[in-house]
Amino acid sequence: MLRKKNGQARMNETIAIVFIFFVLILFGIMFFYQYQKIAIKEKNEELLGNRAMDTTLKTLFLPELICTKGEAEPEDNCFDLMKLRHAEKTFTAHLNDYYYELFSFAKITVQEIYPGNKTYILYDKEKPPLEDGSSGWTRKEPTYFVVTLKDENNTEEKSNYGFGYINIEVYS
Amino acid sequence: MINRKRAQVEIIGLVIIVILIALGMLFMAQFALKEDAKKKIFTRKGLAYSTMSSLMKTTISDQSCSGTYQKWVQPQLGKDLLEDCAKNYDYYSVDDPDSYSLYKCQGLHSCHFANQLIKKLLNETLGEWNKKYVFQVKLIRAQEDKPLTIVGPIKVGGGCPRSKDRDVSGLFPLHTDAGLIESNLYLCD
Repeated sequence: MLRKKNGQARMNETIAIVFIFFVLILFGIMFFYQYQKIAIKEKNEELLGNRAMDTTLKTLFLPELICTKGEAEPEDNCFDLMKLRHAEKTFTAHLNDYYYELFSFAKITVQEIYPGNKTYILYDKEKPPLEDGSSGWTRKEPTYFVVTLKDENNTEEKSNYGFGYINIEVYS
Repeated sequence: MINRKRAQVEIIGLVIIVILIALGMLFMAQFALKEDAKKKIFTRKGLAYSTMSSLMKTTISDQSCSGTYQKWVQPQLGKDLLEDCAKNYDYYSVDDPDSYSLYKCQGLHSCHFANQLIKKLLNETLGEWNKKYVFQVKLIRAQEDKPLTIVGPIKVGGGCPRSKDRDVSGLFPLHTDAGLIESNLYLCD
C-alpha cells in the first residue's frame, strides 16, 4: 500500500514537471513569435530606409541636375537651376520608361529657401490604390538633404548660389 | 546507486539552466550590440556637411547689400561676409549692429547680418525637421590664445553636448588677414 502511494506521488510529480516544462516551452514560443514579428517589422523599416538612402544618392548625383562645368569635377550637393527648371518636363516625359526603374514608387521635391521659395516637383509616382479603394502604401520614409542651387542666369559675371533642400519620400 | 542517479539528474538540471541562461544572454547581447540604422548615420553626417557647404556658398542677393564704394554687391556668405566679419569684428557689438564693416546688408554689420541669415536658413531647414543643432564660427588670431566666437553659437533644442550621439560637418577653414576662420555645425537627434 505504501509503495503504491509512493508511486502515485512520483507520478504526480512527473506530471507536474512535464506540465511546467510544456508551459515554459509555450512561453518560449510566444516570446520568439513576438520577437520575430518585431524583427520583421524592423527589417522592413531598414529596407525602406536603405531604399530612401539609395534614392537620395542617385538624385544628388543625377547628371540631369548636378552642377557641372565642362570637364571639371561636378560640385557636391549642388543643383544647377538652369537644369532644374527643365528637369520637371524631362522627368514627366520619361517617367515610366526610364525614371521609374531608377526611383520606383517615390516623390522627389526640390524646395528653394533663399533667395526665393519656389518648389520643383521632379518625380511623383505613388503606389496605385488597392481594389477596395484604400491607399496602396502603408509607410512613407522622407529623407532631407540641404543643397546649393546654382544660378548662372544672371547679369553678374560669377554664378549665384541659392539655398534649398531636396525632399525624397519613398513609399512601401 | 540511487545517490549516483540523483546526482546525474541534478547535473542534467544544472546543464539545462546554464543553457537557458546562455541563450538569454545571447538575446540580450543581440539587443545591446545592435547598431544604429545605417540610414540614420549616413543622413546625419551627410546632412551636416551638405548644410555647411551650402551655407558657405550662398550668395546674398539682397538689394540693400553694399560693398566697396557703396556699390550694390552680391557677396558670398562664407568667402566674403564671414571674412569681412572677421576683419572688422573689433568694431562690432551686438548693441550697435550698424557699426563699421566693409559689407553692409540691410545697413547691418556683416557679423550681425550673417548671424541673422544663418539663423533663418537653419531654422527653415533643420529646425523644421526637428533636428537639434549648434552652429558657430570661430576666429583664431595669431596674437590670442583663445579662439573668438564671431558668429553664434546658434543653438536649437539644447544643442548637441558631447554626451549625445552627434555628427559634425567639418571645420571649413578660411584663411584671412585677420586670422583663421573655422565654422562648424553639430547635428544630433
